[in-house]
Amino acid sequence: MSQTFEIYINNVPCEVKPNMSLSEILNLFGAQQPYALLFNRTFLPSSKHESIQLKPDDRIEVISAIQGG
Amino acid sequence: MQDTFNIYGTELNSRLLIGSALYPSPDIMQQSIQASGAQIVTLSLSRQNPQDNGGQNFWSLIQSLGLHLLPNTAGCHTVEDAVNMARMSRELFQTDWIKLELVGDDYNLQPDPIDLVKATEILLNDGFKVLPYCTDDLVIARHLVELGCEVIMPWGSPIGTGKGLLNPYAIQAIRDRFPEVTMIIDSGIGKPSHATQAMEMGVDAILLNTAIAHAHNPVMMAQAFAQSIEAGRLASLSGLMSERSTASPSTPTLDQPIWHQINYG
Repeated sequence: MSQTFEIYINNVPCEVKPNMSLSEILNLFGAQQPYALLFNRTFLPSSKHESIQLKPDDRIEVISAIQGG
Repeated sequence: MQDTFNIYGTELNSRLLIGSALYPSPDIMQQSIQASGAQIVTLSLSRQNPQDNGGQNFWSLIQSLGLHLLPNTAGCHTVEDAVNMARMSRELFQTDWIKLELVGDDYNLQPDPIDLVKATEILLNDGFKVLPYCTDDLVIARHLVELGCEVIMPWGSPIGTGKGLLNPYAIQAIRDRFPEVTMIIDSGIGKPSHATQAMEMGVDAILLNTAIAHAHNPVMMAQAFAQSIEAGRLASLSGLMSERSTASPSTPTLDQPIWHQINYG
């Protein structure tokens, strides 16, 4: 059984397995398209979402549209 | 008369840009935006909350309006954060327009002029069409124009204050110095008369949010602003009379039966 580790999604701690893809993790979180991602405080283009290698304490921000002036 | 202005080559008829925040309800927001006649609506980014349907309701409503989207970088205090937010906006909204906001001080949300110039340069080099929210400082405006900004958006007064143009001289100076640049007043407009004043000075357009959204009747206020902006624009094109210090009768008085002249001294 593989060891889980903790990452943060929108500041919420989440236990993930090493073999999980980013999209699987975001689905578990409940993220809904369309969204953009910040990975460790830097924009992560959608073209790189699936190639990212997660490690403990990584921080992902799931960002979507809100009202603005 | 066809009287358009342009934002990085996009020709627009409406000189009112409108924000999507602070309305009493989504329905009032939709009606107000439509009543304003705006062709551009601003919006922003935030962490998605899955319990709130991921913001889908707002996103669907905005899309249904069929307007140009102008995402902002509201709340950013550093160049790095503003650049990241701009890049996320470009991917999410499929536009290279960005209303670049970089807060320099939380007391009055004044733009940080130094970091604004730095972030503008990075984003222009990255292919963005930057609409920088700046103070009414002529020299900062010059730096932004020299970097390649075709649009500048000085404040009238701080965001949400409704104080109108605190420094009309400074606004006029920017207008006169850079007549070829599209100039939009981005914040502080509280009343339709403020908008008219700015438009009379030759400003190209007005960006509004709080003044409409916080009105008792936002839909009617959106119409009021649309008309005031149109009035100011027509006045600017018409050429204002010169101001005088002494009175000058509009009705010819010579040979009137009651005509008289009082000589003092």
